[in-house]
Amino acid sequence: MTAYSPWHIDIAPWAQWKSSSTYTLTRTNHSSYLGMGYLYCDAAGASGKHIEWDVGLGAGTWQLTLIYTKYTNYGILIPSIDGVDLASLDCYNSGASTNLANQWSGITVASSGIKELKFRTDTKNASSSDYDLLLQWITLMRTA
Amino acid sequence: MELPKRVEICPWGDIYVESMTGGGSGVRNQNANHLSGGIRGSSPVPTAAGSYREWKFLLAAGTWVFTLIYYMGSSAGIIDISLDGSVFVNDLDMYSAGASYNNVSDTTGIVVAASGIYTLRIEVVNKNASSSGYGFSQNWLAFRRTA
Repeated sequence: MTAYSPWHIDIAPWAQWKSSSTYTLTRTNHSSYLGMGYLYCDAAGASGKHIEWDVGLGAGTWQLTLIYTKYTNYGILIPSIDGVDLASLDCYNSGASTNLANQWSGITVASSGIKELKFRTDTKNASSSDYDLLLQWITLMRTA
Repeated sequence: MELPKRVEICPWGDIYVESMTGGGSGVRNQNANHLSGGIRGSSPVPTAAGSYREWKFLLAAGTWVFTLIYYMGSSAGIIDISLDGSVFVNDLDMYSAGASYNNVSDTTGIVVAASGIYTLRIEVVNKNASSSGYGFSQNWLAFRRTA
């Protein structure tokens, strides 16, 4: 029997998530944001918080794109897929910077199945006042 | 296992392949006038036909309806839309003298013979005589299986 799996997965982070470790999560509608809103992850001053989604990925090479915002109290984001960390992303900025895009390419998925996409903030820029995140849109796309 | 009967693609999320004529680049344009809050556009506006974007996704064998939600403007071109090289939308003119948001193109009766991964391509093939360029912008793509 032929097995099929999608090559393109769009996730509105504000729609649903699998689990979250004690971020206070708030959905906000806002016309200035791609996706017309965002999910705000409030870490309340604590490091080590995380949020997860389950995604079905076929074996192959994938690309993760995140649309997000930087601000004065945001942390350093570490994404991971099934426990394998990707490069970190510093979400600090001295002022609000919205509709930014970051791409992680060449992600190898060795075997097809349900994988856990996780975003966590263990650390922060020295200039940031917190470990929060503002997530607008997530796309996973298979490239090979 | 039954395959999905619905495929939604946010075009400003990511693109499998994109090629712009005249040295331009694809860009995400945030604008609250657009359903989804933005579009995938191009900057600068292409000056010749031939620009295209592609996405790959899973479609089950069956009959599908395709919906494109797009922007019309004074520098937009005329597009063809194809699935694995088979054109099912011919010469969709995206020109409008003034900004026109959230236009809808529905195509019914798209037959997919076998389940698998397909490539959707949107390509600029010409322009309206009144248009100043060959731009093309999309804010949402959706497939729905009807049979």
